[in-house]
Amino acid sequence: MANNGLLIAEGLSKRFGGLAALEGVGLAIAPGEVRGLIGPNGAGKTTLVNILSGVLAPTAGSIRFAGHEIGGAPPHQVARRGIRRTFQTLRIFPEMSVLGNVAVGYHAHTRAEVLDALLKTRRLRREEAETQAKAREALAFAGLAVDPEIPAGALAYGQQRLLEIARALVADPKLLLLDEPAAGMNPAECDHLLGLIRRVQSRAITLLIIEHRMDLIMEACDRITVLNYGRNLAEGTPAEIQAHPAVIEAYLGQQQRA
Amino acid sequence: MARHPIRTVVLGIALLAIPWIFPHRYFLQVTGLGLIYAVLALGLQLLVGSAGQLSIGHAAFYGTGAYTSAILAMKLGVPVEAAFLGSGVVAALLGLTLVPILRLRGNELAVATLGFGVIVHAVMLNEEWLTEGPFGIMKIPPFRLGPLVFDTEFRFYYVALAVVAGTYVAFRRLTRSRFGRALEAIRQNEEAARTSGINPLVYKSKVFVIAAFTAGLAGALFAHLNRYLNPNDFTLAESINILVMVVVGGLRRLEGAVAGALIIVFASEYLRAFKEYRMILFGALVVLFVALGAEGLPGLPGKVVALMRRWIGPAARRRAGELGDG
Repeated sequence: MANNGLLIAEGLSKRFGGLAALEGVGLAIAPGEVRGLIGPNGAGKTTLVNILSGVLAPTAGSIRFAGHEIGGAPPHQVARRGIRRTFQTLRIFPEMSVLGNVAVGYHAHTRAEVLDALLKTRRLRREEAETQAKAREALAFAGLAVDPEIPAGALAYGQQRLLEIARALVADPKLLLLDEPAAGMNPAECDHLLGLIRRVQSRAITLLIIEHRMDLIMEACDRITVLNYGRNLAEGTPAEIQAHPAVIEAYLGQQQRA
Repeated sequence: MARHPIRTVVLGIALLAIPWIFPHRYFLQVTGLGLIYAVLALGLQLLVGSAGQLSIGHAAFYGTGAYTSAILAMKLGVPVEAAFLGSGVVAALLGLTLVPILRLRGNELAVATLGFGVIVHAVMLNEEWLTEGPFGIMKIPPFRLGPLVFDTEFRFYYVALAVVAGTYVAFRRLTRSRFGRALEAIRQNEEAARTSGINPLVYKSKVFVIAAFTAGLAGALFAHLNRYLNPNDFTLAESINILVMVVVGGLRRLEGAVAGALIIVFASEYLRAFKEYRMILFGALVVLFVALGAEGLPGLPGKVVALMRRWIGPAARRRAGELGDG
């Protein structure tokens, strides 16, 4: 599997000063897979997603994605390679329209620049029509049935989460990283999210999902990677992970402390 | 405005008719100055309002344009038309040298641009071989276009109006395109913009160069209107003045920058009648507009209505209560 993986990360470490957030973490995801990433608070899950998406540069280690080394590449290059993400703490463009937010996700697929805008070239008009169409399609795919012209900041919290997913999906990524997509969602929205994850999977988009809601993770994922204290703790199918003694200890141990 | 063709035509005719309706030299001189500042404020609006890049060094590009046009036309014998365009190009090239500091964000960028403005001012003041130093450059020729010489306030008005209109239309096209969307994305959430495939450094560089280019053109307009340049026309206070215009007119909307420029120029000119109280009144005016927040002037009607509701509402209820008691 190491050779035909879509994403192969090896020996990833990240230090913040003296603090090691990640220590030699490895991760191999096969194309088309839905992978869960779990672990107690502070295990390094978000740090790992930040490194995979280029937001943070790893202190050590390598990331091969679709045959290219992307470790330490800036986020806009990683995005152009086909890795898109959402954020645990929402990062929408609140003053922009809902449609505009999704259109930003399509930026890398278009080329019209300053001169095209000044001269209103045919390329600009063609690309803009394409962008609008793709953005509407992504909104429909994500199941976000709101007026696309209202400012994104006016959406409810769960809708803003779907908007972030639509913004990532419009780029037709190879790998989609979801950082706690269900946070702040009510049960009905969670069901909708699960359905959306299934539909994303059926589009042959590979997923890596961080989530604290075990019911969602166990239901949605093919395999699960467990991190603890910045290291790999376990990996396996949902059934294997639920029965894994080290995983149970890590979670129960945390509960006892709490 | 394209959706309101009649309104555009009426506005256009009104703007063209102004010098015929108000042919006073002083009024037209102030209006011409107001239009020059409108070009400056439009550039800063793109930078601050759209891209969210706070610059307190806009006068550096303005001054560079002014001196470039004057030096090209007077010392190198370049035709005024070409010197005018050259001023934009030289200011844009100067903007390009700022690219390394564009990695700075927020206040750090503001301080860096402030320092840049101080440096450019120092060059104007001290490099006498080029700029005549504190004496300034005198007897600058008027603006001309082939056989047309724009040597009166009346004629100059049309040149300035054309540059404002051109800048406004160009910026409107920019802000409504993919380019403008990228600027908005960078301002509203830079990290989300980056993970969506946008390289912020490229867009910040482009917007700085565009703003510098238009500020350079504004500088050339000033040189050929005023016919005399002095380094003190391009100080830090001037940069702040342009920023105040953008804030007064409301961050975000291009029209706001034009309105803000005209309001500030007219206010500071016509408040001269109040002599030493002028700056106090001017300050109060600025505080009032800044209190309106990011919406600026366009937000005024809404804010007034909200205030009236708050004050008149309870008062009306109290009166109703008193009546009930009686």
